[in-house]
Amino acid sequence: MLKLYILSGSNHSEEAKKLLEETKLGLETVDVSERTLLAAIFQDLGIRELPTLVYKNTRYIGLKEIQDFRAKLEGNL
Amino acid sequence: MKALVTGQTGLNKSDYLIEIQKMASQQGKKVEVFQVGPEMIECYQGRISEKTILNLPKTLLDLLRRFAWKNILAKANSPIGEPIIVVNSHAVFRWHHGMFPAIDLDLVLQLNPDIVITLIDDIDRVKKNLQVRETDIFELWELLAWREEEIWVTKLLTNNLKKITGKETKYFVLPCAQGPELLYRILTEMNTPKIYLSFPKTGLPQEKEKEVEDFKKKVTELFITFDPLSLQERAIVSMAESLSKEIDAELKKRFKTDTDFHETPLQELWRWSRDSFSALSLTEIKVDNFFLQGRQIISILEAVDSQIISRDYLLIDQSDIVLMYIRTDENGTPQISAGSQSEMIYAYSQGKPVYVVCPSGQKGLSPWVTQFSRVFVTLESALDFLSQES
Repeated sequence: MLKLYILSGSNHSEEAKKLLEETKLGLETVDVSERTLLAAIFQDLGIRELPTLVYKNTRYIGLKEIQDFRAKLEGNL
Repeated sequence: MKALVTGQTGLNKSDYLIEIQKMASQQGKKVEVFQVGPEMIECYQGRISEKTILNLPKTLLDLLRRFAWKNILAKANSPIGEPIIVVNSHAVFRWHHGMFPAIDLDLVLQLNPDIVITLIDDIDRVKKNLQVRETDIFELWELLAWREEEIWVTKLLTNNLKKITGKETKYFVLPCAQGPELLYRILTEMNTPKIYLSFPKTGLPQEKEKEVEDFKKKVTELFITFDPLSLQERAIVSMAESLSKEIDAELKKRFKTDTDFHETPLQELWRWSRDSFSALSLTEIKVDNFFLQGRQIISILEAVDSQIISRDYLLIDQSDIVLMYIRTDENGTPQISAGSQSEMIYAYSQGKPVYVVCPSGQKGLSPWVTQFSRVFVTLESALDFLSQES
């Protein structure tokens, strides 16, 4: 299962979500736009930048890394 | 009971203290609030206002402040009945001509407070309040610095007060976002144990989220709690760090090629310099429906994080106990954040008991946790223990 942390209203977050929705791995989207979550996410999970994708204990930070992950995934399938 | 309350401008301290008076009155108690700022304005017979008082020459301002304090001390030191006395002042001022002191040790000595408090809030909220009051002349970094100055000047003042009087004057930093009831309880329940709460907000399963919120509520009913997450200006930094690449990509679209930016004739006295945050300086970022200038956000990026650490340590210093919830992942493996780990070691080294709630119990927890804390499997067992202990 892919877990994607996003900031709603951000183009990069929306793009990352669209990219990952098409995979067969399943996607859980966590919107952390609410002030409390946005303040806590760095302290709780060490996530500094959104979108961040978490898959099999690996983090893909920012749209570029998520795009690379998606491209690799396509290559493997 | 006498209390001195400090804090930077823009906290709406007066409204906050009015709430405390209302709470007291509902319980048949009386809180008398004396405000140094309005008293100074009154002393000058209405010839100045909140917007112009700090324009006065420093010598006159010093005299006016001492005069206002003397008036307040006359009333505060001979009250009718036994009210709780609260004196509201700044520790320092910041204005067009920089920072200058706003409090005198000899006058505070005459008040001889039992408790000294500094109120704090998120700087974007402070800025918003100042805009409403038409006194926002401050950059975000100044508001951040002012908050820290209020804390440390007041803490230093309290330490000196203790040394001179020999009295155990308590000092607390209180987040406004925790509501006026926190200060009210500090004023009226001095002996209630104080607990620093360390709980995750993100990454909890939905059912656990509610359980944790209920637990926090229950603990707060029984004890005085300090919630480090009530300060949330880290949200500004998270937004800026998340949006900077997106904004940079938009900016790049405005240049014909990526190298356009650098390929300008060499200048003698300046050169282009650009990093991933440069584009942010051309923007305004919307945080809670309030636009903040990107260039001002850049100036606070590092400071917000460093203040989180120093503030959390201060909140631990003023607590008797640290209570920590460590979440587990879908496989039941405990996930402790670097922040929680540091808080635990700091509290332990300060001689504070650390209680941990972790659904997996001791299993899977590192000795870096178990050696410094007592572990409970459920929130209920921790609450039972705390209730018995108290």
